[in-house]
Amino acid sequence: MISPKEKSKAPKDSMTLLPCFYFVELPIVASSIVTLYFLELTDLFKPAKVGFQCYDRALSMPYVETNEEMIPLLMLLSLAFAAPAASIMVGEGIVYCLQSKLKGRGGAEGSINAGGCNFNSFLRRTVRFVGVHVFGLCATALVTDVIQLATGYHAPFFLTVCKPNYTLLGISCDSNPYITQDICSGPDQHAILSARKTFPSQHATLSAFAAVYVSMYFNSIISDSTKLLKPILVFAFAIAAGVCGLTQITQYRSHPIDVYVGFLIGSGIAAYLAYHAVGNFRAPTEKAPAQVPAKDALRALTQRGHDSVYHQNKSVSTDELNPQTRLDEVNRQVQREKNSLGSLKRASVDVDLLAPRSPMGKENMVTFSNTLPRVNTPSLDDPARRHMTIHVPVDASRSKQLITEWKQKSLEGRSMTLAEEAGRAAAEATGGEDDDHIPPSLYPTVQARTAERAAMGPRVLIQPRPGASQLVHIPEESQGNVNLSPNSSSAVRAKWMMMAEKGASQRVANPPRLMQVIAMSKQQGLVTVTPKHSETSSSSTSSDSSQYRSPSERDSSSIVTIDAHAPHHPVVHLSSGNGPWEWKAASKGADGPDAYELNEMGKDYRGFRPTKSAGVSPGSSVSDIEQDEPRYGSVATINVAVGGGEESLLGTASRESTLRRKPASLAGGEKDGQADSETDNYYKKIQANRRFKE
Amino acid sequence: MALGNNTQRSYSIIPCFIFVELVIMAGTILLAYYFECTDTFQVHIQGFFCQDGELMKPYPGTEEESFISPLVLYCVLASTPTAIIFIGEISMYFIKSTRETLIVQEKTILTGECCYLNPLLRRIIRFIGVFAFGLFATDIFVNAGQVVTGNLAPYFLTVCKPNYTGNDCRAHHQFINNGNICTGDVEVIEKARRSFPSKHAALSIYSALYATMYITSTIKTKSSRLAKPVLCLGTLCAAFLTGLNRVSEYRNHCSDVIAGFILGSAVALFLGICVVHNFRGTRGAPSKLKPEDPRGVPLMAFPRVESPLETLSAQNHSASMTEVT
Repeated sequence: MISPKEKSKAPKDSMTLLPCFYFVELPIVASSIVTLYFLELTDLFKPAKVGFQCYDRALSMPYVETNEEMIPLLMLLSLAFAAPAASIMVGEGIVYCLQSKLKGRGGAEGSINAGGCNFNSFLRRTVRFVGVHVFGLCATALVTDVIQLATGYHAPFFLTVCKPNYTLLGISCDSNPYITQDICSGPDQHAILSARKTFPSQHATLSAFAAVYVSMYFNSIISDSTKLLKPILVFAFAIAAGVCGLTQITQYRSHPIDVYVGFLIGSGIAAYLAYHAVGNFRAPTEKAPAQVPAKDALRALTQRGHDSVYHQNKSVSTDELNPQTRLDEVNRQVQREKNSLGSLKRASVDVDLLAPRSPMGKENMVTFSNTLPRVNTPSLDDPARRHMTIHVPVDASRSKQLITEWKQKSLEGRSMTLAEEAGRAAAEATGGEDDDHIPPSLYPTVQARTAERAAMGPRVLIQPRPGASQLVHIPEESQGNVNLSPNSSSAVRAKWMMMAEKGASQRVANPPRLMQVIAMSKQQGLVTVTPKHSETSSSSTSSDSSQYRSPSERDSSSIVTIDAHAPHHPVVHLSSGNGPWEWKAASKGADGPDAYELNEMGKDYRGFRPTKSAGVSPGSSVSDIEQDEPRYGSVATINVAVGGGEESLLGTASRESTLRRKPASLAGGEKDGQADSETDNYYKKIQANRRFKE
Repeated sequence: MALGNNTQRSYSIIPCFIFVELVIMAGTILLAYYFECTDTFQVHIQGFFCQDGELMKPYPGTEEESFISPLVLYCVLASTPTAIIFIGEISMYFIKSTRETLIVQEKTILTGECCYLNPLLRRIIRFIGVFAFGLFATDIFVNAGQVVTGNLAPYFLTVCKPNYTGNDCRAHHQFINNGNICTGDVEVIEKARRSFPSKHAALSIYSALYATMYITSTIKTKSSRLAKPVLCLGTLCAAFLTGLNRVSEYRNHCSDVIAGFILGSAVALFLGICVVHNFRGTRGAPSKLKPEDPRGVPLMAFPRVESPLETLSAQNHSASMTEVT
């Protein structure tokens, strides 16, 4: 998703170079060449019929055969093409070599990256000028042919090749000297046809075009330091063109007026093209500077963007200190919101409340995942899917306090070795901690981003569509599988711990606790929720199933999932309401002193699946609160969902729990008690983690 | 820097002058010499009709018998602009007000240790050199046209003296493709084949136009309103009359003279506008500074549109990394 975008956007400054060349310039030149072929080499178009006078001296000049011509048309074409093209190439080569010295003159044109190729100024200018020259030649020949066909004037050798049979007419030339009928009796039809196409002279137009074009080129690029180099070149080309045109007169192939008009036409076309098509051969002052520094500045800004993003994510204060960057960031985020919402969510520690299209086992899912591939979350890529992004602020001390309280409560009547758990959790916590992070530093970042987005506008999107369960999703950066740096595992671990804390705080809540958590989250006021979501939650409340319910009403269960695809990271699916609880852990990553505990935990997570059918949960009261305060409803919803599920799990001890457990795990034991104890273990571990982190 | 404000050290001007300008100039003069004085380039043999009235004008005699003899003409048209430029430059240099602007426009070039090329010398050499080059170039143009076309002078049949009673010239529309039927003086016939374009017209109009452009662009006195127009129109009228004299003496066709005018005017205009830039100084500096300005604007404005796209992915990666860690 990202990489093709990056690939297509990176050479943006030259995006139009190659397509414009392929699809605009080349078809134009090709079509003109094809048209020229039909006009020049086929008899598709007949010249206009023009009469002549009997025994016209001006048309009785001798006919010089085409092969005896001093400058045949083919030679003229090749010369008119090759000489200016070679001159332009040589001139551009010299200009390119002297570019450092001639800076500010013709050579101030940068190279361009397009389509993976680097087009330097030499190549671009040469292609441009020679291409325009070729096109101009074609255009000049076209114009000449069209005028020749339209006028149909006779060449000076017309009567020679025509050999008119004056006796064919009933009337003699004496009475009516102007003959309009076709009375030619000459054998060479091709010569007759060519004799009717003379105005203006093809040689004159082509040679004048080439000479004027290349003269303007030299006039533009040759510096003023040498006064005579420019005129000598210009005069040389002018003399060549003049001679080329004048030979048409001397060889009786054109009238003098044809040649002069041809000179004028060719010069006009060349002057027009040189002034308006190639900008008088100078570096385009509007275009080139826009292209050249754009690239450098783009790079610079890219770098700056990286830095700013880095700082911004690192610390909140960067935003206030650097308003410019922040402005950029705002713009970027707006665009990002449109373009890549998925990558955006990946970038920030967000809790995405999203609704997959499939019922997902009729559960509301709260998924904390460190690696969430695309396959698991198709809704990320689905643009039709709406996302809800919730930033869950968790006050560390408060959650800790809650956990402590809950632990004290749950310790009674539970046969658990807490010390083991604490030690294990401590080990894990230290393992997570000394890699890098201090989760508290993470929270301000999340909050800052939340606040920023709240200021930006409707950031939170809620799925209005019924029939979809909702999912609290905490994605990790390794989602794209592209940057699985060695660092990421530790980062993932730390992040997962944060999520675990969150989950712990949520799970801890029994009804009053739940209220408390909700109140705290309201106090913090960092969560943005659209009212729509509160409506849905309220509707779910009215449905009297789980407190947190999908708007679809299709299912009455919710799942809190902590999913870990990478080793070391457990997968926890926590379902509340009527849905089953599912705890999963990838235990294969456990090693060292943590092995035992992790195995146990893994067993727990994997095997513990209590299903709750009891729709009555204390979270309904929370839903009432949500109704009252729609602004903070989403966090409340999360809390309610998780907490409600937890409460029902703990309080009612999951009467209908279906325990899918491996036989190797805790043998015997009462199912409910085991389930409770295992969840208890888990929460204690999490609490220990928190303690160690703080 | 010890050099003054108007002084500029340049070591390339003398070699550039010697190895580029002088070589080009020598080549041009050599080519003109070959065209004028040798038979290197044979004139094209142009056919004719025996009864062509256009070519049967009376022979006005040799060129030296003309009202405007070539020697006088050449001397005048070569010396007049030279003198005008010389006088003009020296007077500009010694009149205080114009001198200051002159020095502002032009820098004194210091080459090596001793050689100071002050603006006066540089301008005189430049303008007169370009003028001389243009003169020879016009001559080459004219000769090339004459040689290539081989257009016949109005008095050609008079000096050719073809045998009108022969078989070739009997028919009215018979075109004589070769000049073998001429019985007249070969030398004169050879001259009569060089008519298009008119050399006198081209050279005179070139010289007059060059001088006119110089006068127009350099003399900026406000005390005398009529001196400048009189000078300009006088030279132009002289050139024009020279061309007309060619027609009236049956030495050229009207089209030849017009072509000569066009040719000379084109050369003069090109040299005056594109090469010496209307006789101003070499410092067209303000134009060079302009393209720098728009360069800064898109540097700030342009990439802001695109950079988020380019940086998005990397930024996201780094952002998530930073947040997690």
